Amino acid sequence: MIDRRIRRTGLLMLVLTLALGLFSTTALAMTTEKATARPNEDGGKRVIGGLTTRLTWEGIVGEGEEVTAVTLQLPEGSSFDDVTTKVTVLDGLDRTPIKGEATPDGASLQVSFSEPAEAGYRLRLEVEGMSFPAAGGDVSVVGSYTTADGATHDLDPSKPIATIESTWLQRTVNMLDEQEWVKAWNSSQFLGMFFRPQLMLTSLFSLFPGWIVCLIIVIAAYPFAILLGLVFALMKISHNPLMRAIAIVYINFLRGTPLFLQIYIMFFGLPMMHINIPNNTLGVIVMAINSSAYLAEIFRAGIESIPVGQYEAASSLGMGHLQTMTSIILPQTIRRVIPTVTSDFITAFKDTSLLSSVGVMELMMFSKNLTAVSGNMTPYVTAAIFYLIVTLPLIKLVTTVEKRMAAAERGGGPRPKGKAAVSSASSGGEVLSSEMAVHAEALSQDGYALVPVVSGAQEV
Amino acid sequence: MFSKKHPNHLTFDVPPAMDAVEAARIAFEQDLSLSKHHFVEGEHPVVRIEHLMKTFDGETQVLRDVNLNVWNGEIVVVLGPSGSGKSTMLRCINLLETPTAGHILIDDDEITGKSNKEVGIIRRDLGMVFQQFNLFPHLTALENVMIGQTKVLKKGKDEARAEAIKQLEAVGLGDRIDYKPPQLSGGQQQRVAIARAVAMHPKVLLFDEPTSALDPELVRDVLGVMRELALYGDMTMIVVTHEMGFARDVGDRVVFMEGGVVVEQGLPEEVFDNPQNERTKQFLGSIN
Ligand SMILES: Nc1ncnc2c1ncn2[C@@H]1O[C@H](COP(=O)(O)OP(=O)(O)OP(=O)(O)O)[C@@H](O)[C@H]1O
Ligand SMILES: [Mg+2]
Repeated sequence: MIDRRIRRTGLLMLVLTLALGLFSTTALAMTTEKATARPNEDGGKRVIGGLTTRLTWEGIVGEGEEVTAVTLQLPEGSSFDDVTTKVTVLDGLDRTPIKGEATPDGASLQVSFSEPAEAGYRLRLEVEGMSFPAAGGDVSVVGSYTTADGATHDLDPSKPIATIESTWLQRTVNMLDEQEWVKAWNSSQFLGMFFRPQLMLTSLFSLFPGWIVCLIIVIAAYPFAILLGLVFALMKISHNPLMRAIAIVYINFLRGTPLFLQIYIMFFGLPMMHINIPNNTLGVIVMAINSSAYLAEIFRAGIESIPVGQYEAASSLGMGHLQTMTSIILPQTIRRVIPTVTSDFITAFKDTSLLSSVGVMELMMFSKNLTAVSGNMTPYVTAAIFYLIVTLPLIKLVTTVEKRMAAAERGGGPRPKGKAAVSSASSGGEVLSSEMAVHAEALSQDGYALVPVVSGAQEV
Repeated sequence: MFSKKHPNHLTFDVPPAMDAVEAARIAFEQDLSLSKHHFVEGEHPVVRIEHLMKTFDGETQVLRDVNLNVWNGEIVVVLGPSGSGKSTMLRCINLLETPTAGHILIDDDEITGKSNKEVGIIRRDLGMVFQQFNLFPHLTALENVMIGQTKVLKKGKDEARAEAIKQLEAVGLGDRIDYKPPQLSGGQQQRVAIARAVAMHPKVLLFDEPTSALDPELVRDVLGVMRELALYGDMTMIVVTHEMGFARDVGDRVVFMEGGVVVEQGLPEEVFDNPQNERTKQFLGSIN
């Protein structure tokens, strides 16, 4: 109600009333009104000692005084070196930046004004680039002020500013800042832009949570992807045309469209249908569905690569279809597809980066933000390192397993005669027998001219 | 396994399977002179094939009219040129191929025209040894021999294991039970495959050119195992092979197939030394 009445009387009245109310309480001596520091914690809200930040101090000039200089004093360990100080004088609602000169002296800073600040004026000092003691703790700004008559008076202490101890990381970064080699290194435009040591160090820490999110998403998604993939692989090779059709549509849609598009459809489509799933969970779902299509094809190819002889051997023991699948075919399929599945896992892991486009806080998102803040490419390079930590060992694993499998197929097993000697134990055997069948067919039309296709064995 | 129903124009007129007692009597008289088998009055053949026909894709007629009796404990060696249908006949016997027409009876029970489930049960009685061994490469020799016993016969692990070890020792592989197929030579693999089949204690063991994929020096071991089995194992065996020595020494009867029919059969020495059929003569001539 009051607000409305005031609004009716006009904004100007309100301002005047407020201003009068404020200044009517002007004290006899200068008062400290405010002392705050800007948070300098990476992504946090706290003030860390030993790291540069901005100190804002405000005081009101007392009645009958004219202030020509203010000296701010902080505890030992604070630093005003290389600060830039902005002085603002507020007279009522008027802001008048006045010229001043700031002289740092260790933990104190003297600011003298080109013209004195009159009684009732609110003085604001913004000191950019100062730092608090590295040990942290509650810090109160004290100091003194000089009036036009040359007298110096103490300032009343400010409310304490809570600061925390600087971390190992920040100290190391500070230490790096000082190093000559770091300065030399960073003076190279390329190295300084892509491999800035300080930034790489801090990036390693601040990107870490994003990396973990990537890992969690892909590790959570993959078991579902494998299950789904297996189901669709079995559907695709089933004899039921409807099952096959469903599998084909599913697999082809997912393999035939970009993951990026699938992410958009899910992340923007579901909320429109009032289905709200948390970002990370939805990320897991999208990745699982996408991978399942690729895995389905991998499994299908794997199952079909198992020689018919394996089915026949299982059947001739009296195994049913399900038993043959679970005890004979799938265990072999799994072994065969491990390298391909691992490759797909690598792809899926990298593809989690696409989730950054819809706000999932994963590695790419973190590095993008950090690069935007720092204007430096080093966070991206650091992100690359994080991706490689996962992918390189897996790539190595794929190569090793592939080599070992190739060696196993070459090394042991039956040594079919002649040109078939290079074929493998199981799969090669099939090739051999079908070749022989074809061969035999052709021969039989020639009137058995060469009937004993298998010749070596007869001499025994 | 998934062959289509036979189209009408090729449907054969096959008489129903004969009455078991009558069939056994006729077979007995007919086979007495053809096999070294010790016939016992009143005995029935364990495998009875009557007018078996098999056509692929509705046109390729591979088996025309196969008639054959195999007696309990008999070793029948099947010879014939390539493409004559030997493998197809064996595969029909354990239903890896669905016969197009005709009858196959195991212990006087018809096995054709059965449901998938029944087929599984029938196959337990029919062991098969393949040319390409077809061992399960992800399992050790021991597991290869155990898996049928545990999964199909539902035997306990210990019992299956004991049986597997016994059979592997019988084929001379007691020291290789933990090897996987790729670590074994072809001859060793085939012996594991034989042990795998024997461990199921089938009524009939079918061999489809078990030594054809082997290097000559490995053939002997496998033949040795088969000989043991034939002579001391009390097994009924149908062996498709090109090993004439084996056929002559071990076979109770030699069956010569040609163009999808049995054209000649008899005692090994008679068929080898005095073949009656022109094709048989030609075939034996070409390989000697
Ligand atoms: N699944 C099939 N589909 C079509 N034709 C087949 C099939 N299996 C076998 N055949 C044909 O049937 C004929 C007989 O084949 P089968 O394998 O029974 O001969 P075989 O006597 O065992 O010969 P080999 O001594 O070469 O093993 C061949 O002409 C073969 O091409
Ligand atoms: Mg064959």
